[in-house]
Formats: sequence, C-alpha cells, structure tokens
Amino acid sequence: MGSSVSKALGKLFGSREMKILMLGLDNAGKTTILYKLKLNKIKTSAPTVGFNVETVSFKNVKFNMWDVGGQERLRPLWRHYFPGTTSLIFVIDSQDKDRLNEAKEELYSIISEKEMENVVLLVWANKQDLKGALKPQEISDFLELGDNLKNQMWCVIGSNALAGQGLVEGLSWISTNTAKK
Amino acid sequence: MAELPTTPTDNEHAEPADISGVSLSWTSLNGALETPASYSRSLRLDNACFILSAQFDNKLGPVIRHQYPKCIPGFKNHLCGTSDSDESINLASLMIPNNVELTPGKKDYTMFSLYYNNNTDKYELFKPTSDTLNDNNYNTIREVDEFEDAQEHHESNHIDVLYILNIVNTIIDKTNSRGAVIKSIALVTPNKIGSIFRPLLSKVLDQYMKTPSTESIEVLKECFNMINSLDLSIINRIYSNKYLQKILQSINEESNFNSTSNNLLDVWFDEKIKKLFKKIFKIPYNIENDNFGNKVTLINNYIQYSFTNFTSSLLDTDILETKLRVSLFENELLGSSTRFNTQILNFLSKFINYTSSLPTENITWRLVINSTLYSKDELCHFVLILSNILNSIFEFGKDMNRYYQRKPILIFPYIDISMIDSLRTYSSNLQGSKFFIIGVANPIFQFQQNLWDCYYDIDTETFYNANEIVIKNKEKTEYPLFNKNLHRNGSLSIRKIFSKPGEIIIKTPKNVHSRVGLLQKCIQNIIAEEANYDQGVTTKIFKKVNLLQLIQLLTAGKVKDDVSVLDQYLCIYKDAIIFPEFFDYTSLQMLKTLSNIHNCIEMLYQMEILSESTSTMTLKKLKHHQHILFSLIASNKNNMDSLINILLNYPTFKIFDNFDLQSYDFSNQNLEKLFDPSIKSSIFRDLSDNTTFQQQLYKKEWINAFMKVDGFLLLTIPLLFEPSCTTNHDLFGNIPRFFLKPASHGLGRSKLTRTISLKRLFPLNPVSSNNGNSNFFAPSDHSITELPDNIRRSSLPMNLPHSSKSSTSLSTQSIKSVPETSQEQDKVNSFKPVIERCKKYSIKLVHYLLKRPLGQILYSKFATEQIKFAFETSKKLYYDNTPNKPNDTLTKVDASKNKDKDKTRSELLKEISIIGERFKVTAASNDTMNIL
Repeated sequence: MGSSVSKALGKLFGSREMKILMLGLDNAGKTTILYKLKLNKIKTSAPTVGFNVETVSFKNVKFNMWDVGGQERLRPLWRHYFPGTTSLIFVIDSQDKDRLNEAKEELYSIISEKEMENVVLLVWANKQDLKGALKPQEISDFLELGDNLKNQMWCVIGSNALAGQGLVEGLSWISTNTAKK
Repeated sequence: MAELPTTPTDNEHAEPADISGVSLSWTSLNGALETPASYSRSLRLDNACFILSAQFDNKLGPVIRHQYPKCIPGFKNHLCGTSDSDESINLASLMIPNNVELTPGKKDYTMFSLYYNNNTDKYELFKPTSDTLNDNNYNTIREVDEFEDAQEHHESNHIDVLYILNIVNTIIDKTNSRGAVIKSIALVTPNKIGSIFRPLLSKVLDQYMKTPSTESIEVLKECFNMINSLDLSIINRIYSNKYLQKILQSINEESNFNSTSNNLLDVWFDEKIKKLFKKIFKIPYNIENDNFGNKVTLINNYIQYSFTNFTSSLLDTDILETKLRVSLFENELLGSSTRFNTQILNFLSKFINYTSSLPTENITWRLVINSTLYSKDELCHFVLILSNILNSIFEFGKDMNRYYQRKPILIFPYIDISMIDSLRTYSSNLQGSKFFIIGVANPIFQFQQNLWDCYYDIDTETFYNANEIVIKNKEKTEYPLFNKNLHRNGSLSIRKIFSKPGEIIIKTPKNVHSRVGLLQKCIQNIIAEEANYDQGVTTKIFKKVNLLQLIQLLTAGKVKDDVSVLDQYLCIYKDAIIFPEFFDYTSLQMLKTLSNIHNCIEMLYQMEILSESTSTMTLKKLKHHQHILFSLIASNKNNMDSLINILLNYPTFKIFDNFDLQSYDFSNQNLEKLFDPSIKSSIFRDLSDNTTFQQQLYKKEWINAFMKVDGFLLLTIPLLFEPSCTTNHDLFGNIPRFFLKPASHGLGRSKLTRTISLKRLFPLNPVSSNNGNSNFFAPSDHSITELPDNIRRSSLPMNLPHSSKSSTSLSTQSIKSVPETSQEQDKVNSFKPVIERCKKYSIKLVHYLLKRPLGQILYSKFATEQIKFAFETSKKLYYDNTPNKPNDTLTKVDASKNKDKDKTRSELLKEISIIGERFKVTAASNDTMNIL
C-alpha cells in the first residue's frame, strides 16, 4: 500500500528527508502504524521498550519515523527525541475515552516545549474500527487545538492501523505542510 | 502468566518483599538492620550482594520488582506512578534495555557498575570523583561510631564497586494484555568475575519467568543462596596476581599465534606437571573442593566449579547441576572476543586518527558507541574490550598513572536515554579532561551532541567528530521540560512553519592529511590484509609498538623528570593505547637497560670489524648494563615477573631505529618491505630456532617479526661469546650468521673465500628438518687459517646430537681458538676478562630466571639448544668445575647439580664418543666435497 501511494505522491515532492516523531499514550497503536507503513504488516506482539525507528520512503521523500514507547515512566524521556524533529504525530486511542484527558495533557506538554514550537502536528485518531471510538472531529473538539495552537499547523485524521486507513493521508498532509529542503 | 499487581496508589515506599506478597524483612533475616556503610563492607566476601528482578510494566514501563535481600542503598523502589521519587528508575531502565521486545525467546545481557559514595552512604551509577562530589558534603564530618576502629573507618571511606550482571528475556504470552512478558534478573556482586554466573542466571531466569509472581521471590532467594554457597577464593587468588596474569596473557598471545607448535599452556596443565601449577599459582596441588566443600576440577586451563554443597527443593535440577567454568586467564573473562577484532580495529583506526589530532594541552574524549543491530550483550562486550584496550591504565593500578588517576575513565557498557540528564550533569561537573566510553543502543544519542566528543556507529562503522559537526539550529542546547502558557500571538507565521527546527550538518572534513603513526600503520595493515587475526595477535603487536615507542622516548633523552613517563608518552604519541605494566618505575629501568644491552650486542654483532678500543668499551658497557639488570632483579623477587613480561614482548628488531616515531609519517611506508629479510640481518634472526624460522606461520613477514618472542636471548647471548676472541666478529664465532649461509642471500657469501669448502664452514644440513631436531653450531678447537678474517678464528661448526643433556658434557675448555701472534694474544688478554664478566652475568640472570617455575618453562621454550648448551657449559666452567670457585657464587645453583653429577659424567663419556663419530662423518664429507 505504502509503496503504491508513494509512487503517486513521489512526483509531487522533491527529494526530502524529515524526522517525524510519533508519540502517544501506551497502547495507542504507534508501533502498529509504523510497521503498517513500513512493511504493510501487523507487527504488534509486545509493548515498545524504548523506541523504534524506521525510514518510510515515498518517492523522493524519506520519513525517518521515530516511535517512542508511551508508558508513564517513558514519557519524561520523550523530550530527548525532540531535537531535529520536523513533524510530530500524536496517536490517540479513540476508543479509550477514560484516558483522553491524559492524552490531551501529554500532547500539550509536548507542544509547549520550545523545541517543538515550529513542528507541524498531526493527530491520528486511531482505532476508528473499534466500536464506540470517537470520531476525528470529536477528538479534535476535545483537544481544542484550534483554540490553543495559533502558530502551528495541525490536523486530526482518523485512522485504522490494522487496515491502514488514514495513514497515507496523514503522511501526505505532513509532506504538503512542511518545507522543502 | 500472572499479571502484575496493580499500581499502588499511595506514595509510601513499598518494601520489595511486600510487593510480591511474601513476607520478608532484612531485619528478620539478619537480626539487626545494618547501616549502609557497614553493610557494604560486610558484603565483600559474598559472591552475591543482591539479587534484583525487573519487569516491563504495560502501564508504567520498566520497574524494579524485587531487591533481595534488601534495597540497594540509593535505589529504593516503589511502584507508584511517577518516577520522580523512585530511585530505582535508572536501574530498571538498564535492566530492561531498549528493543528487547523485538527478540522474544532470545536472552540478552547488560552489564554496569554501582559506586559507593561515602558522603551519602549510597550507591550511584556514576563514580564519584573529587570533581563531582559536592564540596559541602565532602567536608561534612561523618559521624563515626566511637567503637569503629581506625581501620574500619579508613575502609568505609573507600568507594566500593558493585558489578551488575543482568539477564533479560521476552516471552510471548497471549494471556497478557500486550501479548508478551518482559522480565529480567540481575546479580549484584562485588566480585569482578561475577560474569562466570551467566549460565546459572540464565537458567534461573527461565524458572523465574515460569513462576507465578507471588512465589517468584523465593526463586531469587534460592538463587542468592546458591551463588553464595560457592567459594571463589582460588580463582580470585589466581586473578589477584596481576603480573602473572599479564605474563599469562603474553604467553597466550604467543601460543595462540604459534598454533603449529606445542602450546606452552597446554604443557603447563599437563597432568604430569601439575605441581608446577601449584608453584606458579601458589595454590594447593590437590584441588578437589573449595573451602565450602563444593567440587572443584581443573580441566586444562579452566577451573570448573560444581554446586555440590547446595541443595534446594525449589530450584530445578538443571539449575542445581550447573557447572561453572572459569578460565585461569583473566583476560578471557569476556569470552571470545575474536569476533570483534575486526570491528575493534576498524574503530581504533579512526579513533587514533582522532586522538592524534587533539591538542596536547587538552586531551579529552567522551566517546559514545552506538549499535542497534548487535545485541546488548555484544554491545557491552565491544565496549568492555575497547575499555580494556583504552583503559588498561585505570584498570591496572592507582599509583602508577597520575594522568588518568585524576581523571578516571567513565565506562558504561550500556546506558539508555533515561540517563542522559544524569550523564550530562556528571559531565558538566567534571573539570578539565574527560574520558568516557559509553555504549548506547539508540541513535538519538547522536543528536545529543553536548554529551560526546566522538560518536561511533558500529553498524555502519561511521565515526563522528564533534568538532566537525555544526548544528545549524541556533537553539541546539537542551531545554528542561516545563509547562508554559499556550497563548500564542495568533498570527500564522509562514516563515516559522517552513523553517526546520533543528538541522545537523556534518561538515565535510577538510582534506588535511594527518600523520600516520606506527600504531595506526600497523592497524591499517592488519585491516587491509583481511586475515582475521585474533585478538592475541593484535594485542601483541600493540604491545611491541608500545615498547618500541617507549624505548625511543626513554633513549632520546627527552624524558622530563617532573612529568611521569606515562603522561609524556600519551602527550607525544597520542595513541590512547598503552600497556601500563611497562610504565612502572622498575619496568622502565629494565626496559632502558635491556635496550642498552640490545644496542651493545647489535653493535658488536655488526659486519664491520670494530677497533679494539670500541669493542672493549662496548663490552664494558654491556657488562655494566647486565650488572644493572641483575641488580634490579636481585633486589626484589617480584621484579623478575616484570622482566619476564617485558622479555615476552620486547621488540628485538632495530628497523624502526631509523625513524623518529614521534613525528614520522608512515603513510607511505610499506611495513612488509621494511621487514624484508634481505634488508636486515640480526643476531636474533640468526639465533632463531631454525624450525620456526623457516616455517613462518603467517604470510606476512612483518606479522611474524612482531609476533616473535626472542627477548630472552638478550639475557643469554653473552653466553655464546668466544672468550679468546680478538675482534668483535670472533666474539660471535659460535653463531652461524644467516647471511653467510650457503642457501641464503648472497650478501654474506661474497665474503667467503672461494677456496673454502662450504661444508667445512657449515654443517651438511644446517637447517633442521621438520622433525624438530634443531641442529646448532658448537665450538671447536680447530683453527682454520685459510678462513677469511671475519670468521677465521671462529670455531668450526659441527653437528651435535639434539639432546641438550648430551650438550652439557662438552667442556668449554675446548672452546678456544688459538691466537697466532703476541699481538693477538694481547687482544685476547684485553677482551677476555670483560667477556668472562659478561658471561657470568648472563649465567646469573638465567639462574635467577630458572629459580621461578614460570621462568623454567619459558627458558625451556625460548632458549635455543645452542643457548642451553652454552649455559650449561659456562656454568660448569665458571661456577662448578674450577677448583677454586669464583667469589661471585650462584646461590643454590649447586643444589641439584651434585645429584646429577654422576649422571652427567656418564653422559659426558657417551657424548664424547658421539662427537668422535661426528667428526669422522664430517671429515669424510669434507673429503668428498674437496674431491668434487
């Protein structure tokens, strides 16, 4: 899937390389998204201890995607991954309503960092396939990004990592809204 | 698999035992709660001070589960949500390393250390130094128990080091909400050889992971007790002799290299000579049990421990039957490092290039080594091997190296990103030079550029020099995490959106050629040859380069008194690889003396005939240096160990005397050509055991030259001197010069008179065949007037039986050439006294060598038959057969001699008859040759 889309998108963009940081609470689906994009396979047998990093290539665009574990004690370590980040992807489990507020706090904690003030923000409202999952618009309203992020480009896209829905759209949005080298 | 208990909601510290639900209290186990300081001291005798377990919690991340028998001071843990108040957070991160979930079922290891801080009475991950200690704390007067004696107080001020060996595994578990369970256990030990428990820990982890959480602490308890049921005093004693270990390492390097010959170390551990083992290692001969009654077996160069004195109804039988094999050679503790040799060399080649570019006044390097492809175990090994190479100074002793003693190298085989802040603080508190070797498995460290001066990626073999990297982003420094108001100015700045927040640009290194020193040249050659030399070969080469450069530094007269030689060496050569055992005062004295002896011998051995005065003066110098060497080894018994180690590594080639090793650029030199045998002659080459000389083990001549162990000849060459000589050439009349051999190069052949029968000059088969019988030249009383001057008064060579015993029967009274004129007689009278003194010193030196069990073995291996013969005959001449023994008697040398007297006499008669037979054969051969 990734490669076919990349062919279509590749011609639109020049040769670029960007560091993308993918964060979110534990069990949000970050690693599943990463390997769906990279391998077009579901590879989630264990929680992420530390990080995963993969290069997802669309034609002429290299996304160096960093997926960092989201457990409570790992979150203070996220800031060490900030340097050099072009785009932040924040993944939210749309069905886990109990922890939406926790996710929101973590998100704002990240984007309030000086090093992250210039990055473009993509929120993947993941697990749209699950029953009772909040819609992207609902997630967006809950996060109140429009009210609080006046200086940053942001976008909320619904996704289903298992099927790959919304993933290419997300990368496409990032590519479109980041500077060319 | 049972799920972990839910996260405690209270913020009180939970005792580890409470977490598991098993009642356990350090107080109840030990009667009284000990203070941390006294506790740390009392643990020194144990193999295991603590056993830890950790787990990756699906909600929290890495957490410490158990600490048995109690929390390590400084690392109290509790499973509350935030990490701020949990001292064990870093421990847990080190025990559950990054990406361990990617290899389920495949165990991995991490290693690290904890350092005791006397000011806080706690252990820390970073070694406290005077720089990092808080001044206020440092000056605080500690409360000392009035009953604590001064010695104890002194001890408590020492920093105790705890070594941690951690093993981790991931097991797929469908019952777990995240599909897998990740757990680890760690042995915390004060014993540096704690790594020998790896196989045991591996099995215990298997059982621990199978055991329900509520009972798993019992597995740890039993493991703790089992490990402490073993007495490791024997192996600790063996390892404690640092010089012996250095010697063994040197021998091992040679033995591994010289694999076609008998392995010296195999001989040592032969059943028949186990007594020698006892003598060498000073341990009981009949090793059957340790002090606790466990079975101990000696298998070749390993000691095998069995847990025969420990029983447990809880642990699996497989665990109880574990056998631990420990090498007698400490340097093998890291296991097979050969597989890393190429990677290490590739790194060193780049690293030395970097260190040599550093300004002398500011030698500092903080090195971060990254790999995501290797396991953490392999990464840790890589770092530790590298540390051993770069940091042997720190390892070896505290007194001898001021340079590094003030600035200890921080070695961390593996750290994860959770330690970045601590590391940054530690680094910023250090003043002046900093030396770090840190292993990481996360390329994000490359972005943390204020943490490193050089960054090396093993996977891609890429070396980054911080000086060549510019961060374009003006905000390259780290910012602390803090929340701020989210109110922005409301305007969408296009420029901001399109500006990249941080961009790292690696400057193209300027095309500046940097000097290639000798060490780097050797490394480059080894890499280029792609011969997969093992680490022993490279270490031996490093040592010889170290000694070559050190000798040149010592003999150049540039050594300043107020700066240690080590400091000067590091500042001048900047190789960063040294062997500190060569830098202690005695070793330096010995090295300088050996170099002087070497120079004298080479001076005398040259093709040119020296004037009488020059020869005499050189001989006197030789005698003087022999005297110094003898004084050094006679003054202290341990000095012989230093000497043996130096001799095992002494470079006897003089090829590099023509190069200023401090400044010469070897980039365009061809080492192989430098060592071409047709270019240089050498007494060491001529004296080499012909068998090994002909059967070069490696294709490359330079490697063979570096690997050759012939330093022992320096002690013994004077034994071959011809006392009745009249020139320096006659002095070596007993040595067959390589370049004069018929089968050899034509250089020496031209010096021979055509009318001389070569067969009269040399034996029919001057080089022994593969049967191992080394032919050698023995002196004769035949003078051959038609010989050229350079060899005329040399003794006629002849073949003798291989047996050294038979050689001993020859009386040196027959080793005389007859001076023809009174002028020559005067010369003989001039030379003879000093030559005899030189020979006597050689006898003494060899005698002292033979007093050591190790020396006996090395002498038997490295002394040629000719040397042995000369030693025996000279000894008899000067110390035995004379009616009036000389004043400088050999101590104890006669003790065994008298016993063998009768035997020697019978052998003497036998050998005389053999020699007679040989003469007949030789004469017949000569006649045949003349006819032809």
